[in-house]
Amino acid sequence: MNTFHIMRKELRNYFSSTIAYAFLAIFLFIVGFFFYMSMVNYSMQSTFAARNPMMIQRMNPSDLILSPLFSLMGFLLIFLIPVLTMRLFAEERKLGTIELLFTYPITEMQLVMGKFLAAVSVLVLMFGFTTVYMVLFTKAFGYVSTQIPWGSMGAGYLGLFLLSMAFMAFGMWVSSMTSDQVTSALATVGGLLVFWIIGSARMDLSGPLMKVVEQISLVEHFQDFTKGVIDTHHIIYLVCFILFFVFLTIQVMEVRKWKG
Amino acid sequence: MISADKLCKRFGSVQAIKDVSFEVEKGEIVGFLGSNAAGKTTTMRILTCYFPPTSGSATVAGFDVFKDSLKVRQNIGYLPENVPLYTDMPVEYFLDFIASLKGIPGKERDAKVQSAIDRCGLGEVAEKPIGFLSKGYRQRVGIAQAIITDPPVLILDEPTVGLDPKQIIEIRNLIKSFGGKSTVILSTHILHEIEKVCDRILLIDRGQILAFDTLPNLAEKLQERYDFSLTVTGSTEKIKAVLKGIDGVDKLQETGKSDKGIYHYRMKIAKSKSVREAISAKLTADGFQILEMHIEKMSAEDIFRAMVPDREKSAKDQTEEKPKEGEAK
Repeated sequence: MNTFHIMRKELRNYFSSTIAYAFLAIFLFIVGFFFYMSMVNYSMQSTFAARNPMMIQRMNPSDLILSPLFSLMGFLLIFLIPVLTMRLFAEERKLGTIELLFTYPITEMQLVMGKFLAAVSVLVLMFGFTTVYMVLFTKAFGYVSTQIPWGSMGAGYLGLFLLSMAFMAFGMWVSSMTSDQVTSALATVGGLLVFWIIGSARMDLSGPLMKVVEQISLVEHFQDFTKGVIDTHHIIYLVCFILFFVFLTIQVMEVRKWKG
Repeated sequence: MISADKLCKRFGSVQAIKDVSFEVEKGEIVGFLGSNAAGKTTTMRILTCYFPPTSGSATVAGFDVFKDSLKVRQNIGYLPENVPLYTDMPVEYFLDFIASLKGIPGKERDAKVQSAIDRCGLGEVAEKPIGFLSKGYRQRVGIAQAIITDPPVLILDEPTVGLDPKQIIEIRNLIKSFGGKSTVILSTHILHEIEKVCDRILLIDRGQILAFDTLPNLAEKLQERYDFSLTVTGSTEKIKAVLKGIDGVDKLQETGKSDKGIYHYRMKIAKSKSVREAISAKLTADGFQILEMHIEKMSAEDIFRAMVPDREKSAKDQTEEKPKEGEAK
């Protein structure tokens, strides 16, 4: 119940300020623009393909439109999720209200979960809006192919959802350690970029280290989802990533008890 | 209602409080008095379960602050120093949120919020965002969130700091009205506040308790002799001679003269009653008229000076050395 009260308060904060609206607007605009461009691009290519039977085989709308779209959304969220998570705890520290929260009859777990779930709710709302693009997509290709690629969409959304929750858990943890929102946001973007590109480092490495680096990389575990593949080992990795950083945040809350 | 047993708290190499033990009865109003960084806030933070003590134990409303921390927190209202509040929330919404966190079910919440608003005189600003309120109103919002559940224990850290004299009196009366029903601990370094509000004083300096008693008792213990003032009509030379002749009168000085032979004197006298009787009897017997006699009682300030003598001045310049949130990074 307390989790719910905290969540309610956080949601009010998101929507009473401009944060949530700006977040939704920027994301939906960029994704919408990209979606429009790939649709236009696809239709131009398909007029060429019409004269070439070999090319038609490779004109799979899922691969050419959905997959890049999900990849783009994932990448975009590296820069947008920190906007949602930066103030979660940094603001409480700045205002000093965290002292109030710590002396109310709620547990650290309830506090952290309430805040996390509020941020996730904004995310769910945002993904809800992006289904408009999916509807347009199925309408556009409804006559080309009788089979709407439900699987690709489902896998893409599942991957995107897990990925963005992983970003959020990380961002929340960073926010719990600072009282400055700008620091919180920048450190989160930096950290997430490292997690994103670390996979490229495997070229210069070999042996077990290469394997580790490859497995740590978030993009590695996200890419298959965008291609419509659901692999349990990716799900397990992302879920562990989320739980790990939620757990760390709770620990940061508890640290005050043991410090000194 | 509240008991602390040998509480110690260290922050790294700094010993914030050491061996703090005391008991507070139900319905009492106790004032923590001490200079900055004396350990008042640290003690309060332990009692409110913000952090546990390094060693020692404390119980509030019958629950251990460490083992039953959630139950303790259900039974206290706490006003932290500097009154942290959500500045973007309207007063009413804020109090409703706090009430929900403190576990008041939805049905009763409106009534509780309304009652807190009424008691703290927030009716006029209930709809306004807290960020727009004056310092005095914010202080009241802070107190309102502490009392909203009518908790048996109230812990108020410097409730009147930064208010104007009128507001101080209002807040003081508000706090007094909780006495008897709730047990109140408040901290302050404004000395006469303690005299006006508190039943007992806990004098704390450098993390240790120096004294814990009622103001008259503390004064009684500290005062070896009374400051005594006297106004008499007659001839000053003769009066002085009579007074000097009385055993137990010391440091006699004439402090002034009004018209028609009225003289004012100050002196130190021994604490026994017989000295005062002797003064009165002898002067009267010699034909002088006593217009006024008065014992100067020690104020909280005198007591504070007497017990924390040499450091008082330097303490005022000292900046707060309290551990602030955000150091965790």
